[in-house]
Amino acid sequence: MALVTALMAMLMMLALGAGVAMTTLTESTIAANHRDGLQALYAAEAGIDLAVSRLRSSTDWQALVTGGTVTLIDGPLAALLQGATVDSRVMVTVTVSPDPNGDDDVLALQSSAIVAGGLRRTVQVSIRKRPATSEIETLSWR
Amino acid sequence: MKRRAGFTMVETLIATMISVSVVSAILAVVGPAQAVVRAQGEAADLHQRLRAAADVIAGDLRAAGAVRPYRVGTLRDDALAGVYYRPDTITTLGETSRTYYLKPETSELMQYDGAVSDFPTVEHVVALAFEYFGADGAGRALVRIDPGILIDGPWSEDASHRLVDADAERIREVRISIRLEATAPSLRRLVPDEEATFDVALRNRAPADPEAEPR
Repeated sequence: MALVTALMAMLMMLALGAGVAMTTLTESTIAANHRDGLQALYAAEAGIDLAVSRLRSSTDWQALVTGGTVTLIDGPLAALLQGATVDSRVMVTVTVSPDPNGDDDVLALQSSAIVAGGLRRTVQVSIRKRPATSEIETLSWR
Repeated sequence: MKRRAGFTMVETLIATMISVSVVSAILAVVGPAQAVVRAQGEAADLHQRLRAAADVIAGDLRAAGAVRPYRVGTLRDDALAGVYYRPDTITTLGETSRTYYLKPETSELMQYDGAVSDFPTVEHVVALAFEYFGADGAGRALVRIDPGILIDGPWSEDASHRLVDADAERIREVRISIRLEATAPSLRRLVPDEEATFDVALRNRAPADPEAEPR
């Protein structure tokens, strides 16, 4: 009798414990996914900023994209941002395309980042070079 | 009288009493543990709803071309009623318009597309507030925009003939405060309300362009 009661009690507690462990595991998986998604989004935005800073020193945008879409940046974000404390498994690819509307001073950038968990986020930006000041203006960011 | 094998009445009674006290002690431990198990799931759900709310608002704000601190739309437009500021309402304008606001009577975070669809996005939202930040006079640091100057004019009219206070053009960053409660009232003692405050910079407005900066 005592054995049966003890066994039943053990089983009950075990089932409850397993239930709590399960929800906790699910919760931490969801949280990790959310963190990865944000990490990928910010890494993709960093890729755009990096590409814009490289384009700033480029004098002839049209020569850059004569062959259509060009990959400007490709590699781990940690290597691109030298010495920064960034997860070395975050990969960023930035491509540059000519403006779909044919404006010579406008470029379309697309940055994709993949994090360790395999999640990917993509940011598309179009930028314009202002000939007078040679400054770069952001036209759209999404 | 021949004594037969078995328990006496007294032995049985004592054994039953001991068993009952042991079982009730076990149940007393398991009962609250069950509530904790339910609360765990509830807490996970609360966090998930908070993440969903933050993601959906932040996503639209990041891509927004402009924001309005009131409801914009053909069916329900606050501007038509002369309302140009609501602390718990924001409209993002981009390729489409999206309005987020709190429906207090049902505690729902609503998403209105400016035309026909006006549906609850996240439930059991008890508080929602937006604050606005813009460049200061020098065009460098971000300062909080006093809601008072968002309703005092001067007014400008956009392509869709919506009136907007010219100071709304200064908005570069939005601070969102959102507070959610557990769905089951009985579990609110174990799962306290969760509150999040986060800032989103409007990517299409920043970085501030010194020439386009309003005076």
